[in-house]
Amino acid sequence: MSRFVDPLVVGRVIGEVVDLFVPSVAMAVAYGPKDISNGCHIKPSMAAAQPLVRISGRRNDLYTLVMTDPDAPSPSDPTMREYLHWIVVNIPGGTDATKGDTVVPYMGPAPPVGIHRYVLVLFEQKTRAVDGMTAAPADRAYFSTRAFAAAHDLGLPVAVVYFNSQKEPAHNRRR
Amino acid sequence: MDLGDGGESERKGAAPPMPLARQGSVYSLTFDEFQSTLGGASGGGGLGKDFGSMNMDELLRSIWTAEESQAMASASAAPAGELQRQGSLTLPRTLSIKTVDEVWRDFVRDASPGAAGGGEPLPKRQPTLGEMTLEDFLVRAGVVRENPAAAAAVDAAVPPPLAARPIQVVNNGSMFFENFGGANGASGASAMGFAPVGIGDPSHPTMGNGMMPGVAGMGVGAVTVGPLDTSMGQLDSVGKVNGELSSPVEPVPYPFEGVIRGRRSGGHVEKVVERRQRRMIKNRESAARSRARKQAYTMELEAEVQKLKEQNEELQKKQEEMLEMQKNKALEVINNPYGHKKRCLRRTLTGPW
Repeated sequence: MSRFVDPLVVGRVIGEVVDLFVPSVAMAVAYGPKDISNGCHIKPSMAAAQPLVRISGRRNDLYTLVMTDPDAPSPSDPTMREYLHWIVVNIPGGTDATKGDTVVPYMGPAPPVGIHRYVLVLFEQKTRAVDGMTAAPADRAYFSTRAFAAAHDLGLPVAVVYFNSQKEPAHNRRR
Repeated sequence: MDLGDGGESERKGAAPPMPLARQGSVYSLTFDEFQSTLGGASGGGGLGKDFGSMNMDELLRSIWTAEESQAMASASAAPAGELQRQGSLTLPRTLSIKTVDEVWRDFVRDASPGAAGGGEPLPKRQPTLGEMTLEDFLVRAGVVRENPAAAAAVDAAVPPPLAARPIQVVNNGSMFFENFGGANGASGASAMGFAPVGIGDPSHPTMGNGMMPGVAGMGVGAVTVGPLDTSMGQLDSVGKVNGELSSPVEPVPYPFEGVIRGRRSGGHVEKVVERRQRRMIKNRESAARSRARKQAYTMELEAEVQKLKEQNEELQKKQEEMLEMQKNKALEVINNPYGHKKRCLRRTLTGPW
C-alpha cells in the first residue's frame, strides 16, 4: 500500500526536504489517538510526546526514521533549515519506532513563527547501523535530510509523512 | 480639499501667493512643473518622457527619483525659479494616450458633472492634467490617500529654508488657486476660460467651488464635493479632510507612507520602500504557501477518501460473498435436511449392535 505522493509535492516537502521518490513502505504516524495524514494540523501540545510510528516492511529489513522541520525558524525565512527533531535507526520492518535505536531523542514541535511543516522521513537501511556509525549531529539546526541520507547511504526515502504545526497562544504552549 | 493653514489664509485673501509657506515636495508640483523639473534637474530614468504615455509605475519611479534630487537641490533653489516654473504651469498639454492619460480621462469623466457649468468643458479639460499636482493625481488615481496639508504643516513648522522654498505651494487646493488667480495672473486664468479666482478674491466663492471638484473632489474617496456647494460646505469638507489626516502618525496606504517619511527625514525613502517591498513579497509567498498547504491537505484527504472507498467496496464485496455462502449453506441444509440425518441414521442403523 503506497501513499500518494502528490500532497508531498504540493506541500513542497518533495523538493525542499527530499527528492521525488516512490513510496514502498506504509508508515502510520499517530500522536495519541490522532492519526497523522499529510498536511494535517497538529498542535504543539499534542505533539509534545513522541508519536507512535508504525511501519510495514519485512521483518528483517531495517529502517531509519528522521523527523525534521524545514521551516525553522520562520517559513518565510528558513535560515535554520532543517531543524532536526528525531532520529531513530534500526527499526525492523513491521514494527514501530520504539523497536529501533534512538540516535537523536524526540523533540516536539515548537514553531516560534508561522506554520511549520514537520516531516517524518523513513529510509530503508542497507545494513545494520552500528553504534558510532550514526553519530548524533552536534546541532539540531542546519540539518539536511538529503545530506544525512547520502552520508549513510540510505538512498531515497521509502515513506514520508508530514504535518503542520503552529505556535499556540502562549499559555497552553508546551514544549 | 486640503486647504492647510496656508491655503486658508490664501483663500481669505490674507496672503498673496508668494509668501506662502511652501513645501518642497515634488508632490505639490503639477505635472508640467514636474516635467520641467525632471528635464532640468534629475538624471532619472523617465527623463523627458511624456507623462501621458507613461504608465503609473514609471511615473511613480520618476517622481521618486526627482524627489531625491530635489531634496538636495532644494536649499539652493532661487525664487526666480519659481516664476519660471509657474510660467510653464499653464502650458496646455496635448494629452496623448497611455496610462497616466487614461487615468486622467477617468478623472475628467468622474469630475465633469461637477465641473463648473457646462459652458467650457474643453478649456477646462485640456489644461488640467498639466496643472494637476502630482499628489492630487496620485491621490485620485488611488495610488495614495494622504493629505499633504498635514505634511506641509509639519514641513512649514520645521526648517526656515522651507518657508522660503521656491518650488511650490502648500497643497493642491491652494495650488490650484494660485494657478488661476495669483501667480499666473489674469492672463493664465483667462486663457483657460476662467476669471481669476481664489486667492485674494473672496467674492467668487462659487467659482472657487466650481473649480474645486477638479481638485477637491478627488482627494479622499470619502469626500465628494458637488459643483454648487457653498463655500461653507467646501470648507467643511476641507476641514474634515484636514482633521482626518492631521495626525502625522496616521497610517497611510502603500506607497505614500514611506514617501512622507522620506520627505521628513530625507534619505530613508529607499530603505522604507525596499522594506515594504520585501514585506509584500513575503506576504505573497506566505499566501502561496497557505494555498499550497490547503491544497496538499485536500489532496491528502481526497486520496484518503478514495482509498477508503475502495477498501469499503472490497469489504462489502467480501461480505456479500460471505452472506451468499452462508445462505447457500443454509439452503443446502434446508433443501436436504435428510441427507445429514439419514447418514446419521444409517450410521446408527448400521451400528454393530
